Amino acid sequence: MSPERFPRRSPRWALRLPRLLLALYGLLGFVFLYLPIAVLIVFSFNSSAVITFPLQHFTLSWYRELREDFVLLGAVRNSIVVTVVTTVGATLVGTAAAFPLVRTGFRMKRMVNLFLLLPIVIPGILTGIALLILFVPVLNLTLSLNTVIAGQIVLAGPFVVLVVASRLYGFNQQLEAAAMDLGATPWRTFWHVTFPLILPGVLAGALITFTLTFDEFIVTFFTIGPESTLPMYIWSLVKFGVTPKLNALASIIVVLTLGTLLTANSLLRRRAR
Amino acid sequence: MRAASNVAVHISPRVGRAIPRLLWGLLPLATIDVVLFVIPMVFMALFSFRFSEELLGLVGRWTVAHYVKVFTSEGIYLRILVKTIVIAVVATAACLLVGYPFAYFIANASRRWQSVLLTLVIMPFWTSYLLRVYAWTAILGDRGLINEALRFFGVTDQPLSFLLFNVFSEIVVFVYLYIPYTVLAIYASLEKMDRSLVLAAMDLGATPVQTFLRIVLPQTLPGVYASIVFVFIPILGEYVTPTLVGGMSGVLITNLLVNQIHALEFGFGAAIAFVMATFVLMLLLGLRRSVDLERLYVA
Repeated sequence: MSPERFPRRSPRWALRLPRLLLALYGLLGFVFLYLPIAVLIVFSFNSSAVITFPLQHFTLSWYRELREDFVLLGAVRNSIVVTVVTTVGATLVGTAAAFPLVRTGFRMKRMVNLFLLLPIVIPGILTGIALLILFVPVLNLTLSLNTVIAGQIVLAGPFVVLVVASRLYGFNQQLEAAAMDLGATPWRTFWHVTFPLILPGVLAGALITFTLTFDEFIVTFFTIGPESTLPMYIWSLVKFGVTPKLNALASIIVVLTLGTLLTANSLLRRRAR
Repeated sequence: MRAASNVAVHISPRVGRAIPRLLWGLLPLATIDVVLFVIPMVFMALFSFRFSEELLGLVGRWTVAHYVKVFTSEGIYLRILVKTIVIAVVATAACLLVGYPFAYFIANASRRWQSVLLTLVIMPFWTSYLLRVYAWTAILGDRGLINEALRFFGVTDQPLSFLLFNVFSEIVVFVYLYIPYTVLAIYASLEKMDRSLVLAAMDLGATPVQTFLRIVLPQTLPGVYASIVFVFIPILGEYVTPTLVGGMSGVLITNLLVNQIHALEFGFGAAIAFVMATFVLMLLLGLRRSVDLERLYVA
């Protein structure tokens, strides 16, 4: 089935055994990674209010409860507003920054790189607290969805840079040179040559940013006012322990996120052509 | 990178002239970073040296009292800080130990399978972080999956209560949350490894253990360093996991930090945060030659 990556020397069972053990180990690894998600999904359809064996009968009532939860619906709406604004902003700003980082060499470039990526490496709790100190005791602002968006853009910008930059590294610049030699203005070259070629990367970056921002908790935790976003709503429930309603919510989120990611993935794969 | 810019310069003088203009593209992101990241960090640092009865503003007098409190006050903050670092080290080591064979398994699969398996490793990481941590309370709790299963099969009649709300469950969840990074980083360096060296070592009579320690491991050290950046550092800043599954014995520095912020003790909170930020920055500067941050995501 697979082309051998090591030239096989002697096909004895002694050589097969480690491979078999390795495969078993890999299987266990995936069980570890997917068990929590599987538990949430299975018990979202189970009528028992607590997680117990054996399973009780099948029910959709936890999903119905979600539909009637107005606090949840409001939180989802806020999350969508925050995420859309952040995604658009971060995609524009991040794409603009990716070009010079890939295309030009300048002094201190490594340090600039490190500096621009710092917000995704520094733990979010520190960024969140620093922003809170700026917003409240220093500027005396009222915390709102605007302050949440400000915090999210800081986190999301570098992610777009990374995804778009990866696309630019594989970019054949001779195509641009050809367009310009044939008389296209730099602006025309950008719209007719560069932009179509990097578009899948930009869209993938936007989808990844969307997913991350929609789920972001810790910076939002410090920058949010009286409103709620979806992660903040979830946080208010999980602190009180296991609720089957949360299992239903989790299952919906899993399906939606995986859909978004598979789309982003297929967009990025297109570079292979 | 350098090669790319050289090509641009030589192909066409017009492309060459466009380069300085490109640098303007950095301006918006750099501005956002300065205004909403650097300046807040600077204010956080300033607040950590301020003592004030006023809640708002930077009025007050300069003091190092907050730092004295972090490093001495009956040892609690220092003790929890050290405990946090130790737990993060243990969790990172566990990620490496568990993740290394896993990455090896993926690197040894066929090309087609490799991309499928890698996608499968990353996918859980993208689905709701809070709910994935919460799921562990449903697995490890007294009425959780493991205890219910043990009772169902008659292995135990009392639930095993040591599974949840302690350092053990905390580390399990840390490993669960961050192992995808380890697997990806080690996979990336296994991919780049020169495999003929492995065969050469074996042909020259090295045992598998010798081959691993002297040929494979050194070549995958970049993956190990990357794990420090993407596993150890985020664990230091983990607040959700200790809060949801750590219980009393799993309290970490972030819990103390958030308590201070909620009590509006911005000065003292800022001091704790600044100590953490300094530690993280020093680590990053120390590792900046070993870890190429941008390359990690290009894969």
